[in-house]
Amino acid sequence: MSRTERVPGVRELDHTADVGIEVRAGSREELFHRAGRGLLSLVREVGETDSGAEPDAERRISLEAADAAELLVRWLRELLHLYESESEEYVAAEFEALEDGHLVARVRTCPVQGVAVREVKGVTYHDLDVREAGGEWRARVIFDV
Amino acid sequence: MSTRASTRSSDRRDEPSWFGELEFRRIDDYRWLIPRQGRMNVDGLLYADERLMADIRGDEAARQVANVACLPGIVGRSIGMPDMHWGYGFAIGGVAAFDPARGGVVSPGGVGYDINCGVRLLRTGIRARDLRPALPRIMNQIQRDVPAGVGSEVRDFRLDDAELEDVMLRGAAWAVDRGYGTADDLESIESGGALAGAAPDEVSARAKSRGRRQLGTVGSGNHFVELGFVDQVFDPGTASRLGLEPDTVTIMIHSGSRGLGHQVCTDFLDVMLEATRRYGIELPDRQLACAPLDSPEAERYLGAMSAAANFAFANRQMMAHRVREAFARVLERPWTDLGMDLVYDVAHNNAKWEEHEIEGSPQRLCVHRKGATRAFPPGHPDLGARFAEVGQPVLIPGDMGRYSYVVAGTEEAYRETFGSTCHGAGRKMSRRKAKRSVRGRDLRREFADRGIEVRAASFATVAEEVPEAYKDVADVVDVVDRAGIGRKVVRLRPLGVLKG
Repeated sequence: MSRTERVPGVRELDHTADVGIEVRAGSREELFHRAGRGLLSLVREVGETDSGAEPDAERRISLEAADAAELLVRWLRELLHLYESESEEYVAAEFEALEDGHLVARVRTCPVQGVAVREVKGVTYHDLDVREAGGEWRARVIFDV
Repeated sequence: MSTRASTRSSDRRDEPSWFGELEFRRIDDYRWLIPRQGRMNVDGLLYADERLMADIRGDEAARQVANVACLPGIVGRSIGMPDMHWGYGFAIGGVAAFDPARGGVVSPGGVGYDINCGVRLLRTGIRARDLRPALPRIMNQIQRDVPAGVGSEVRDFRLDDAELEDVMLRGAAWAVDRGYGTADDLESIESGGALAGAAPDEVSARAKSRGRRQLGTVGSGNHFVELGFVDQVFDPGTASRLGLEPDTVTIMIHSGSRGLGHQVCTDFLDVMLEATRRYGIELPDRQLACAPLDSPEAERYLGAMSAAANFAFANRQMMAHRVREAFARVLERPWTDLGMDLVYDVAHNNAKWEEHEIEGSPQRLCVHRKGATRAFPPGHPDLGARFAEVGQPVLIPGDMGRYSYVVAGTEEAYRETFGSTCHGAGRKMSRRKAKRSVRGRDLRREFADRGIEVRAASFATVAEEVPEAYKDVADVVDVVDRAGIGRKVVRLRPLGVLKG
């Protein structure tokens, strides 16, 4: 039996044709991290008895964007690329720099776990939102499936 | 330390917009005008009856048609088909044409992520009732021979760089040269199965690595291989000329350019965002990011898009041939004996250079169709002799349980919609809701009881694709037929479905 992983602070959005997530976190770093895990939870299911694998591969990712929302889209596209082309799934990141238009992170991955249930064609700008209000960070992203 | 606050996308309904509350004007039972208002450069034109219009008014899609009308160099009207619903920037079910001489643009959002997602139809000389005893075995063999499912990949051949480049340059012709089908097939494919001007060098390494292993596969989501039969004939003359005799078995394939196309779209959305800024183009929605048609960015995108489109043509050509071979193997007869000819193959996501009349004189335009299908009339030079009399066949899939249609292109469509028509049924229920609604049900058994053999890489996907999740394609096709922008030829019902 398998389940869709519940990532803390991530809610799956109900869209007619596509799928999306709404993410909440206490910091920008945690927002980006949770969004990455959230994307993963849409793409594959893990077994009930699966506690995850050791992230033994590391790489440095460096991205630029016009603003925080675009940066989130680019971040997620990188993680999607790792999943699809290299069969590596995102586990965690250490952010050396994370501002509105700039990201540098050491990303740790492990081989993809679980069963792929959904093909994400792209990370879209539709209804895209990244904001901070009263110390809480929030994001909304829709994916084309 | 956290800095400033939010970044909002500009396509929310409560944002200050480029026109106020949208004004509509009914033209007739099947046409509604969005008269030029606010910063629209042209009118919008929606094809819908009263009932569909009620849905459309409440949806973002009508506003998206109006947004597209604001783009530079758009000519004629910004069009929405009866199956329209909101998409990224452009609505799905949208058609828009741009004139390079008037600063017209090209926009990847007007094509979609799945470049040349399209449909192919084969006919056969086999009657449905004669096929039924062998149907389960044929479906099994198709499932073996045509990889389907999330991330589906081929196992039995490898494409090196040179071959992949050839695929992107020559499309379906590449597949024919490798033994998948015959040269005769190419006459029954839109654009002969390859768009000119393909530029494989503009396709990124990422896109190539995604596509290399996926050529010859169906993919997932709403893609499928479906066996059906001709269950209703509306235009006997045309049906007969297309080889669609009553009760004969048909094969429909719905698939696109797989990961290669998706990555091309993703890559160029970024290029176009940059181009929009560079060329000082103001947009009501950043997902309409575009570049002037005479710019290097536009040329690069169209080159990459054509390469991806050709990949999709090759993909469908390969899969169709594998289905022919599956039939031959199970029925122990050559596929040629079974009359398994290609009826037609259409694209419903792309941007093409076409000549159309604007204010009485022919202009070379870049026509974007996203979730809309080319539907050229009888006698159009691009169709060739085979379709000179009947016009271009248009293949319109419905959901997996009900029916699909074949429609033919008309003169009226050529005059009004740049020779375009609808593409299929749209969703009406979210995937989550669809899955919840079928919990505990044995879907395979339910379909089997209705005479439909289902094979799937994942029944979770089948759950998302159940008929209840879709609008009724008959309503969409009726509007198109009554509005004169498509002529109903036959209706097809499913016998067997392979889903990813």
